[in-house]
Amino acid sequence: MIEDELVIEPGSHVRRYWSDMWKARGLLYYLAWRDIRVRYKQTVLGVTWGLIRPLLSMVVFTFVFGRLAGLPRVGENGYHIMVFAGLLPWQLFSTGVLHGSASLTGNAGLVTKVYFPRIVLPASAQAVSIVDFLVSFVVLLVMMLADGTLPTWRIIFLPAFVLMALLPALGLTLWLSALNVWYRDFAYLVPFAIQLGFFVSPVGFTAQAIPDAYHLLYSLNPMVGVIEGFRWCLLSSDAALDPLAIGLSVGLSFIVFAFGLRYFRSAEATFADRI
Amino acid sequence: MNADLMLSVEAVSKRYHLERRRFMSESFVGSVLAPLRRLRGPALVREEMWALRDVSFEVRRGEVLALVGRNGAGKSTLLKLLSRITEPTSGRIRLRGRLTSLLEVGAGFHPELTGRENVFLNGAILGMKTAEIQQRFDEIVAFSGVERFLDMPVKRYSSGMYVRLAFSIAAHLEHELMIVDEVLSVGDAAFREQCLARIEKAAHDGRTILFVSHDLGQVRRLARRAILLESGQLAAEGTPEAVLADYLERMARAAPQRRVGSGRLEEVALESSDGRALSAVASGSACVWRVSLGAIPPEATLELELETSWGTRLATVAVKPTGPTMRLAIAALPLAPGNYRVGVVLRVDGRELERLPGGLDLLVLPPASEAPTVFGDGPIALAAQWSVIQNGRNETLDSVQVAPRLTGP
Repeated sequence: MIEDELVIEPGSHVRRYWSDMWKARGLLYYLAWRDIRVRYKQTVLGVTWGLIRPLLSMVVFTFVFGRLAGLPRVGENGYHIMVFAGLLPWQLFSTGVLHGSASLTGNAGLVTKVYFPRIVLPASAQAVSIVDFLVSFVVLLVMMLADGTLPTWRIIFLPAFVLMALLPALGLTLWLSALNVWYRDFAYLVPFAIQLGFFVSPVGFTAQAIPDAYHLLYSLNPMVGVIEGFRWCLLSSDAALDPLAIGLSVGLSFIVFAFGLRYFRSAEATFADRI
Repeated sequence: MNADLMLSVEAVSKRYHLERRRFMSESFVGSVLAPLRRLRGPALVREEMWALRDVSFEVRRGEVLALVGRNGAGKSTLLKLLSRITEPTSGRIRLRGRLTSLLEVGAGFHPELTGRENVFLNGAILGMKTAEIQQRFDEIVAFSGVERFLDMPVKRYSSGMYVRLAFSIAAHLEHELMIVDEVLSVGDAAFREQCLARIEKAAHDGRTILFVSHDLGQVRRLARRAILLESGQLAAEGTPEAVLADYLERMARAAPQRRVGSGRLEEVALESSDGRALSAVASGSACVWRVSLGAIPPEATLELELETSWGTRLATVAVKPTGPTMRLAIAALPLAPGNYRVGVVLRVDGRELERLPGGLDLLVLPPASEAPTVFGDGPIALAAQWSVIQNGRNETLDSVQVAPRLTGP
């Protein structure tokens, strides 16, 4: 006799959601694997592209902010190391949002033909940014060794900051990918907003370069705490972490994630009809 | 739920909102501006459309149920509800066990990945575990016949190879309940036959199958029971023969079969022998195709090709046209009831000069009279008579309706 009986009626997917999600974990893995496999197909440079972009950004930022503007650096590391350490979490966040916000519309064929908890799509999209991040992280370590420095013992806190970058990335991804189903405007808006965020966040400079009067306002960007946290973990410096920025980052990350998830769940049932 | 019941659909309805939107309202700016627009009248005109209304039926274990109905009758919506892609507006569906839906053929295939990689990806999408896929991998590949191209990205596949691989994966899911949505209209004739045999084998193995088809021959061959949907409602339920007769009768009330072409093939129409426009022909009765030619190229032949709806050529009749209106009369149409297709072509030296796009549909109805015509499993209606020779006398017998043939594994 067959075990499970499935009842489909209005609202039934909501009640089964988390058990369906658990069953779909294999799919999460396969979709992530697909995105990684496909990412650099038919390119000559392949995964090297994951390095070229942050390295070029590093060169330009070091020149513009370090040389031309003469902004202060942290500890005894070179300015370029400081920039690269800031690029890592930014890249993790922005690639995830950029890639993930198109994950529903980009997989419309799947959404309209197969049932699975839709959250699997934006969630698996984060895998790409994680792989890019790991590659860049190795490069950073190599650059630091070449520079004659080592990460500090505080590197043990790094995983916490990685999570702090991923959480708002996933939250925003959920929200934006759902909005993208309704309004394709977001396909144009998101890359632009990410580009602005790049300059607004302390990637090419440290948050200390911001006048104290604006510090609270500046810290409302959750990436400020994350980027500064990364530098604190990796670079030897006496500067203490700004508890306000960290606290705001953590709080805002959770809020963004909670709102994103809520919005996604409320919109999810109609994706197949509206995409 | 009764132990024998695999699927029970209880008073299910699905409503869609058709929104006729104003300019820009599909965009975000549009939605921001919506309150302004509301001052000038409603932002969008909402119309309700019931894709399904109060549909109830049951499917028992091991049953093969056909779902028939014209386009837009709600068949696809029903299958979408069953595979949980959308939710019903009201009502309840209960189903037992895991469900394979062949509506998902090729869903999630990634053009950049190789055939081998896509088998695993697609298997996962369809709900197979990695171990299950590995176990069936060789069987899937052998069925698809694309072994040699397994490590090539599927974007380099021909469309036939692509469909064959995709269908093979779905067909090898050993789920208790199987939904088939007109996938059998794809691929070449040989592969289609292979697919039909696979479905027959699944039915033979006691799997429960729900399938949608426009091909009445397939319905007759596979199904033991059929339901007819019309305008979102259940219009008929019963044996395939009875439901198909009902369906054909409804179809026959539709518009006459006439196609206006362009260029040299100006118009093709189906008519009765006395010149009335026809929408369908009864099996064994007379009919006429009238072809109007705009220009008659020298040395051209005009050909009418008669095919089953899944592309098997049944007959070709050709003529050298000598005037602007050509008429092909058939005294007694020797086809079993069902859907057929008539292709109209102009050729010069065997080279195709012009073809009527899409051809003409031919709907064959059950014979009006009790003519001694035999048909069952197959497209041909034979004017034939059974008799028995007994005590030196020849006694005629009625033909027996043939049940669809089930080929063994």
